[in-house]
Amino acid sequence: MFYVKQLEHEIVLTPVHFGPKLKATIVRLLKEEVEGLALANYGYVVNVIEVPEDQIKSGIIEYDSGDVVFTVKYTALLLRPFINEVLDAVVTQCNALGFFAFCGPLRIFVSKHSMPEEMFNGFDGSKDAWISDDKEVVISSGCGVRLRIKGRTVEQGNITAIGTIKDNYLGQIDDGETMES
Amino acid sequence: MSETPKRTDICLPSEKHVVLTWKVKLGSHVQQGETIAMCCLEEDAEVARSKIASSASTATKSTHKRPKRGRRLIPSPASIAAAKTAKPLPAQPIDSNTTHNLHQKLAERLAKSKPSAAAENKASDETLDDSTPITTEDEHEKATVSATTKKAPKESVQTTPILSPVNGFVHESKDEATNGVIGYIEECLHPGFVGGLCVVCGTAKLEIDGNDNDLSPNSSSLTGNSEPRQKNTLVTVSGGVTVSISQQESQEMAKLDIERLLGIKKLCLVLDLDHTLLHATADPRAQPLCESNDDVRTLRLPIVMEAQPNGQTQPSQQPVFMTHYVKLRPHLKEFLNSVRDAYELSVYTAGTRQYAEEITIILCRHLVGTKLDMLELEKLRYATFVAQQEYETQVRLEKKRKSDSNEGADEGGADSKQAVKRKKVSFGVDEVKTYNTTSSADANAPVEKKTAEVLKTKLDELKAELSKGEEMEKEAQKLRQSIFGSRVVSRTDVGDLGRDVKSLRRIFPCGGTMAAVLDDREDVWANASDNSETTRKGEPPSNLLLVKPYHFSAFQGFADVNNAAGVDLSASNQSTETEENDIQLIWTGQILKDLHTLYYSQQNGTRQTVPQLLSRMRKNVLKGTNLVLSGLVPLNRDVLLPDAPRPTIVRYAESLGAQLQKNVDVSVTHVVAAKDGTDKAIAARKFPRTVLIKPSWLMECYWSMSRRRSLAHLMTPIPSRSSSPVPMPKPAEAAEESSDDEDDLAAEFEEELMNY
Repeated sequence: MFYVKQLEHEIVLTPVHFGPKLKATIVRLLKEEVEGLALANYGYVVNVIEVPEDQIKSGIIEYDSGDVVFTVKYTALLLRPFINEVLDAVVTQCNALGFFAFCGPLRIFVSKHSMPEEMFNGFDGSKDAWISDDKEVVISSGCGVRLRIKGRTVEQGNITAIGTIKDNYLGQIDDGETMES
Repeated sequence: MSETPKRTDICLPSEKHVVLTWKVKLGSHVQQGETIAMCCLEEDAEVARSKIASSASTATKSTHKRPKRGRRLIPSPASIAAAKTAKPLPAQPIDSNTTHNLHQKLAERLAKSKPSAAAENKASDETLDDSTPITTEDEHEKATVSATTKKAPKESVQTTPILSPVNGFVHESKDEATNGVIGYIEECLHPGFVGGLCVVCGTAKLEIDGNDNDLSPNSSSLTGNSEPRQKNTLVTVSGGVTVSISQQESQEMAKLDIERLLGIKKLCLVLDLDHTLLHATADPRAQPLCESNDDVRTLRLPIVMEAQPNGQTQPSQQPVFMTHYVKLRPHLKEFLNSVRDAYELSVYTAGTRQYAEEITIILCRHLVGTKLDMLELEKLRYATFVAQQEYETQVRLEKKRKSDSNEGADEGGADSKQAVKRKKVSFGVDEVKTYNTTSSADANAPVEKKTAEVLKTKLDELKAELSKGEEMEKEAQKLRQSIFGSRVVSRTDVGDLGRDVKSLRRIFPCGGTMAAVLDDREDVWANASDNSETTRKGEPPSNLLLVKPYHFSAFQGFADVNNAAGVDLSASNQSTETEENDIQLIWTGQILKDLHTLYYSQQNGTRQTVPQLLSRMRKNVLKGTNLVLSGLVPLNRDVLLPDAPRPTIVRYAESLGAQLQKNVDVSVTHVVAAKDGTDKAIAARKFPRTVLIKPSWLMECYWSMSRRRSLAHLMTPIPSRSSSPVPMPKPAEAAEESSDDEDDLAAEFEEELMNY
């Protein structure tokens, strides 16, 4: 789920950056540092929406290095997977154990145990696709699936989630052929 | 695995209750406290059921309901641009807007999905006991409401939710409900883990891989060893994700794999790239070779910039590309063509993933016989485009000129105008021409000569070339998919293993009983702790087919792209033997062909595995020979513990079926000597049947898995006896030799010492 939240971040600057463009530099560095990062409790920072200038506190000099630490408050658009959340994702790889799907930066693994019975033995190695017994559903790289999140972890700035499509109205929702709207 | 999952019964609140609907799909996973089913008193069941049936929420027999499929909509460029310009807005409005929009979208989606769901469920039947109703959004709401108020809002029927006591899979009892037990919940066995999460139930990893020393008397007495209760195997799947799966799961996987391979009569072959199939370098000095040699290809790979830890440097937006030069091994095409029908090929390289992917496509381009890569194809496309433009301009021009000249007959005044126009136009053509990358010589040609016809033929030529190139490329891509699929494992995928370790289990969780491995280094396979079951610890698995490391002489001295080549024990005729005579791949192709026929000619019941077969094939090569090694193995290593790794050359000799002896005597057939003049080498010349030979012979035997002719590898006889060829001296001479024994030897030795 996407949501907006105010967060805090520390920026360390060397004196080289001090000058009239200081605030712009801080904002630029902040975006570089946090966008795309996965925070343990909040999920992925998709976008830094706003950095209110009055919220950039005056910096503190570190006497060891001469660098200055600024604490910056910013509003961020976050993407966090919730357990039992149903979301749409794009399949990126299929293998004999299941498939991986991405929802933006979020990687979700769907095991073959989490597929409907009719797909349990449906892996086709030559096509790299999961195919249902009646050959109607072909989940291959590039197609869209609707899945439910069963679990997630955050490790090293990355979130891995486990999903399932073993429920009604979950599963393939498009074949990956795109169309301009 | 003998392990059975723990079961917990699902009970009804009392005997008088009956199940109304299941709230979850049978066989699916539930969390503790989740609502599994709704029940009600028996007398109310009929009413409640009819209500539910009329509200169209029950499903037909437990088939999986599929979502509606549509086409994905991607926003048009215009709307993206609009969104981009709208980005820098003040925070407050955006804040509320985004959340609001999201909510609205969600609501819209829900509203869309509901009616369709309801419509699909109209056809419902009343048998509820073994059916799986779906949980639509309305129903879920109703359930929660009824759970809190204990009363369905509109009906007077009292329904009670059954909550799940534990986490696990819901199953229904097969027989009639007794004592209010309607089903059971099976604990998850955690068949696999991705990123520390169980792939089935999504719970975080428990301590089960190796750390859990479950030494309870029960388990240890049953299995007879102190293995942990559940040992997980790491498997690297396509795309470089490592999944840890339980033994049971891996066995199942292996079984399926074996069945599939038996079905299509194939075996697996794991290929190494560098120095096995090709020689790659990133040295720019290789550039000139690219044009002269047909088998040298280029590929461009971005250099990964290490990010500075403090984030002071700005990440470069433009990745830096580095050109790599790749020389394909001779006979590669024949080799790949011969094995690809009988084997399922995988790539396991010490290179990066991108490198591996690029190489596989280069291999396939080589197979279909095209040399154009993506970049060249793009160039060609551009050239064609330019030619097309040029041609069209010319045609238009000529038409115009024609009509102009017609007009000119009527009106005299148009002449000057036309001249100006022509001048302008010809200038335009010139400009187009300079952009044309195809031929610079043509650009200097007089403009008048470029009539439409000339341009047309050139355009057609280019078009034909382009379409051919594109077709080839398409074919190569297709071939790549069919040959290698996603079975590419690279160093970056298995970073946890370290640089010089290749583990067979990463690809084949059950040890690869149907896989052969082709590599120029065996130490990488020996380094992995879990590769070999049949061989001694520290030795490579028998699946490995060692090949002679391939070096392209022109790349000699250039840095390797990835790992170094394997040790070439033959240390030999590197200079005398030109690379184009390298027939290793022909040997290997033959071995693999034999292996395949041997494997599939076996009886079904008593099938030997690939490693067993390969060992057997090797054993026959030098059967009946007695070898003595000289100057190859340190003397103090002669005495060995039974399970310590043997010196490589000893292992080669023994695996080829040769009998190793310590000292030279009559029965010895070959003395393999690193250099001439050793005690054993000299002794070898005493015996008529003993051949003094270089280690390269043994290596060639090993690489080709056949008995090579010894002629090319004979140690050149020492000058004093150069007249007689060593292998088969005449009996008389031999007798003479054996008589003038020790003295001669001592004298010779003395002489040698004097020389130093």
